[in-house]
Amino acid sequence: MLGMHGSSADLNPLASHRDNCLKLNYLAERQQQLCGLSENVLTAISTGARLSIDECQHQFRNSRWNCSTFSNAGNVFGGVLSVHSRETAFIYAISAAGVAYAVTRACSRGELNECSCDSRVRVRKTKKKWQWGGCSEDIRFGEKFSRDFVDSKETGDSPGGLMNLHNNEAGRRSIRSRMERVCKCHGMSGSCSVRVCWRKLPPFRVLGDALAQAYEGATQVRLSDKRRRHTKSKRLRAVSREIKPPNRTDLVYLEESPDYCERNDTMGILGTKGRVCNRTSPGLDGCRLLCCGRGHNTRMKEVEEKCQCKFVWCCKVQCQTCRVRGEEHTCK
Amino acid sequence: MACTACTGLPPPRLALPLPLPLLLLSLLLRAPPASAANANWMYLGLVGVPPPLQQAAPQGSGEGEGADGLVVEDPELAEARAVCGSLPGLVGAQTNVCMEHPSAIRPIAEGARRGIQECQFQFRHERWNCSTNEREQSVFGYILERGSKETAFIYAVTSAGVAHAITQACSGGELTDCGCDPGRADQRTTPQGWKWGGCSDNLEYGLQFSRKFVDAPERGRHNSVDPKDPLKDPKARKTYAVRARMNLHNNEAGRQVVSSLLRMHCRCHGVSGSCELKTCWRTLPAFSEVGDLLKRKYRQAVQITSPRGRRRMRRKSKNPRSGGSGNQSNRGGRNKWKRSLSKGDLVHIHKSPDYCVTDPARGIAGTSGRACNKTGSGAQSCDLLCCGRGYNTQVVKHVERCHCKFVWCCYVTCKTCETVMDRHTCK
Repeated sequence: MLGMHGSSADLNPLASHRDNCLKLNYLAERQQQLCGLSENVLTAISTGARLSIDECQHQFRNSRWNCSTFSNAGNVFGGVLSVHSRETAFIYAISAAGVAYAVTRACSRGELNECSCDSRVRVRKTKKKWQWGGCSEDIRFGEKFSRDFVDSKETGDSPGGLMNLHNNEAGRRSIRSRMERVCKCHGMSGSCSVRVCWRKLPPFRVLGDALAQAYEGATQVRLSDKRRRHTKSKRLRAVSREIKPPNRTDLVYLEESPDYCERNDTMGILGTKGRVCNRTSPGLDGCRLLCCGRGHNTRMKEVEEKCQCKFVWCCKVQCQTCRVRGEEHTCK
Repeated sequence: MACTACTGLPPPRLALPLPLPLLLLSLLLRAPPASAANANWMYLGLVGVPPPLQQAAPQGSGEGEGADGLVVEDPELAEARAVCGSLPGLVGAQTNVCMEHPSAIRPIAEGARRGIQECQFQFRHERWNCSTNEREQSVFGYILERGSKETAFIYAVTSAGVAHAITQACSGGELTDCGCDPGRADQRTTPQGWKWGGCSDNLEYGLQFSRKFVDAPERGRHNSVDPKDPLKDPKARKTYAVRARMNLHNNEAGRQVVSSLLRMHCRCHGVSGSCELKTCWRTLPAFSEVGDLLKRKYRQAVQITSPRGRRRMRRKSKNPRSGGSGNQSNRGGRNKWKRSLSKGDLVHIHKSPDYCVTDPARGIAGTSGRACNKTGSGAQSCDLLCCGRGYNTQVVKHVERCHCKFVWCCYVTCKTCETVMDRHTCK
């Protein structure tokens, strides 16, 4: 999906970027056009993809499904995406957010011709004793680009497409509300008589945490069959009336997740056999839940660590290596 | 060998006509054949003590009680029989205790109730929330059979509950056989210059009573030579013996906790509060303190094995709680292993199930539908409670009275306020 391969190794550096983009046959037509806009667009997109994959793996490092990726699969995540599950919802959201994030960052760095800093922020009025200034990062452009690029593969005809569109948007929205304001004082000898502030993207980890939270509270939805008076547009609704209807920042999914316990090659599920688990944790990383009741093996493991480090004038640090014995538990 | 009480009248709650689906459900829930036989005295804590039967004449309960020869019954005995005859879940020895001390049965039921309530309070945030089943006389069903940490806690807290309630009943004058602690009633002055005075709680009596009553099922069955006992099979017998030893240990641990928390209160009686004259007495801790300490012991419960041919239990793992990191802690672990079990430790034989998914056959309710905390990292957080299944969000309208004003004279006008809150429940 979405050109998440992110590698430009197979591209010919001598050919124009436009030709290179046309070669990427996993991109949709619109995506190829966007890619061909300028040289750095592809770099920005692949940075975004990389960011989101890393973040996904960080957020799911303790879960049964640990966001494993496959280099040979048609899409990066294997068959997991074929189920419209909560995990799929998360992947779509974080990928859309990743693209918006990376493009926004590229804009403020001046790497893209189509955009730069957010000029609209500067004209806003401020109540207190500071002014807008500097380079505010233009998240609106990033969002727009991500909408244009990521959403171009989806159509709103099918429940699955609607779900993906919703989750893409939720991923992008997660950034906007978390923009940070950074200020700097420019007065005499650092005094704050003149204070200039600008808007900055949050660390991507913050977005990952927020989306992981949304993943936990994702809403199961179904396609509503009701036809409204004027529009025939299809909508997703929560499966039960009692459940709070999902808003635009909530993740939605259609199907229950598989349990990810056993290996399933067609689905691209690796299973939890051999995963390292925590014997004492009651949470998902604990052996009991992670190993799905199959039990765990324990072995003693010696790890070499640097220890008793000393600072020696000037300027190096001397360490000894210590061997530390520890237990390692792996799922059966 | 099973409870003699059950053969008499059915307990009042069960006698209520249940609607058919409920009846079927209750039958289904009783699927494990063992559970019906394992009626438990703790059931008293759920249903309480039914009022004594009005017609004091023993009806049908005479056969098993050895009352054959009596023509004119002692009125006290008749009353005792009226109270004790209809109680659910008691074994023979416990019915005997009840017959001896008929007025103690209410404090016993109160103790069981206190124990169960405290258990539910202590575990209100955890995956296993000490849920009880009122239609089942074993109260906790499979959990009580399993021999896990939770089993240990239940035994300890109910046994502590009985000791606590009986002792309080003694001090309150509800029982005829006991009162305030007689050992601390003499008016002699102690070397420290104060006197025992007031009413010291007679915990010793409560402990003894709890030993006699709560331990009875374990002891009785342990020594049984009944040829019809299903435990003729030596293997089953051994398992049972180990389990009985575990239960006895945990019962005692519960009582130990109560006595370790016994407090001394003093008061000065001199002129304008000066301490010329000081009297002191012992008081029981609040039961919530007992619960807190038992919960701490639950977290550190020790898994034990009972090697063949040995009567003593011993720790199962060499280093019970150390993660085994580093040399030092390893050595500490070995020492811990050598250290024998202390009386106050809770012990268990089997590991706990994860309590995540509903399993009616084992009486596990699962955590689906439980309210959880979206943020935070405690046991109540959706993260831990929902076992990774995620949570649903509901919007709950909370209607309450607010902005109340007093209007002369004399009424209060209020507005109704609606607050909308998100409620999270596990999937």
